Amino acid sequence: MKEIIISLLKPFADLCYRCVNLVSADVALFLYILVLAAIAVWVLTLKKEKPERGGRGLLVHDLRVWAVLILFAQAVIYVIFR
Amino acid sequence: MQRLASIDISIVLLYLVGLLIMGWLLGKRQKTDKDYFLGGRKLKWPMVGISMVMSDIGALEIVGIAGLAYTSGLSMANYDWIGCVPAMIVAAFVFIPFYWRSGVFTIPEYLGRRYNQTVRSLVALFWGLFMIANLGIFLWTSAKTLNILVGWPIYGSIVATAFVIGFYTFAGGLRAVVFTDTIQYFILVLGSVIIIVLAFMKVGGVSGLVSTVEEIGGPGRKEFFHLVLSTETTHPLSWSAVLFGLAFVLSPAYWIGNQAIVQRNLGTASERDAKKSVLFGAFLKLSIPFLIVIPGLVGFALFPNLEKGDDVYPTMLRELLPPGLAGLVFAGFLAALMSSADSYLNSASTLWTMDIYKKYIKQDASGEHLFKVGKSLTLVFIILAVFLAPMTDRFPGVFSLFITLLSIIQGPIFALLLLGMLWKRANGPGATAGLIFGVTTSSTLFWIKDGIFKIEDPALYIAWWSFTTALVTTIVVSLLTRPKPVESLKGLVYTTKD
Repeated sequence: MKEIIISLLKPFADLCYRCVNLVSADVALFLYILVLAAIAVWVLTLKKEKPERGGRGLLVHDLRVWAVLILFAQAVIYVIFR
Repeated sequence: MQRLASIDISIVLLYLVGLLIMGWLLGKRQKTDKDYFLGGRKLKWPMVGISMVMSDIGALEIVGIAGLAYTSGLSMANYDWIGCVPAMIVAAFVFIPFYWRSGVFTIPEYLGRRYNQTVRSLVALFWGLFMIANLGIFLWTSAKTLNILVGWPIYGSIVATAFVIGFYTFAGGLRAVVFTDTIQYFILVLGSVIIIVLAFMKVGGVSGLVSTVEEIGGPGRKEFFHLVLSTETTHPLSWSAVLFGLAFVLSPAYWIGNQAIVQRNLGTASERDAKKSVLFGAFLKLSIPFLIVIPGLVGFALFPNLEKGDDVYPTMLRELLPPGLAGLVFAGFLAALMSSADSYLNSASTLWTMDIYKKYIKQDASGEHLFKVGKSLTLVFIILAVFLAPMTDRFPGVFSLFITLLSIIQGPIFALLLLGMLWKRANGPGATAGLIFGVTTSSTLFWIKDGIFKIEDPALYIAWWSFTTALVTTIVVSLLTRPKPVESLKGLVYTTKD
């Protein structure tokens, strides 16, 4: 049974392996940064995240700003330690 | 074996007694299930953020990640960086507010409302069993380290740590867990900073570390200081495994679907506080690899001939620290151990009380009754974990075991959560089929992994494929069966939130 399943899945597994192998580490780093940037852009498209009551409208009260800063710091770390 | 000096033992005892007293004090005014399982919904967001991170960093993380960093290098930091931060940001703005607003106690409870009671029961059973097994792993890891460090007998250590964790979690519930996690975070940071500073002084700083690794490591260590590895590596954390398995599946599954993590967010006073707590946790996560991965890297330079990577952290504690500091760092290690174990203990009790006991045994149970049941189950589970702990020794890498168990269940459950929250058309039959087929896929892939994967530990790839199959199955079966009425989805799906 085990061998039958392996023989069925093996060609697909090899194809996947060959495809991801075409991507170099530098391109992979670019993909990582792209994911982080995409989330940052998505966060900025959300409505403002200011306090429900008594908010003074300062930028630092908007939770989206903090999220973007955290994502930016993460991207910098990946560029440094690639 | 080295023995702890009197001053070290005094520090450790003081710390443990302090935890017991805090648990007892925090539990005094609790009367209902909401008090015990959600801290009365009065928890402060900075403490919840810290508690989330501490629940994630157990002795497992310290011993396991430092051990894997010792053998494999910096790429282990992916678990805490891209393997946490993006998912936590998404969780903060989409998933956590939904859970909070719906007023649920558990993730299975949300899935039950969104899909059906079969899905709720299956997921509750998966997580309920996993958490109890995981408690055993936590206890075994600590006992092993105590044995290496101070020669304490393994079974005696298991009973002693189980007693302390069991007592304050039993007495104070989630509130005690979050409070003690906060104190434990500062002790852990202090302990880690001490050990890192001493290790770097001994190895000659960063340049000394790099040159020593190059000298003793040879060509086999060329990836040691890199985060992004090509797919040709034999290392389990190639870029594709990290991106598809970790960042896209296991990480969001963990931060969005793990009851032990999410439960404390549900205990915050407002939806905004719940969001803030997750963002604060993400911010803290940026620093965690410096505390737990770096010791593994420096450990390789200092002790290159250890039999197993998992021995590096205990060895560094034993070899580097003078009396006084050893007690403090050791207290930090215990802090990490307890902060994870207490969360899993409390959440296991919550799951079994709310999703099994209340659902199947006593549906009309009052809050006071569920409070008593939750406390009793806390006691039962910690005793059970003591008996399960020795089984961990059958598996070679403690951390690999943790990831393996997570890989089997987390991918499919994440597929259900994702579709449930973002796609109105997903329904109960689709989710049931997706869950069963997803878990079958992951179990099958683990069974045949040697025949189709090119790396020894393909857990992250398996997570990706089990997620994908669960997702596709849920979509197909949902489209072939009758949709849920739109009015029953209000507040449960992103597009119907208003």
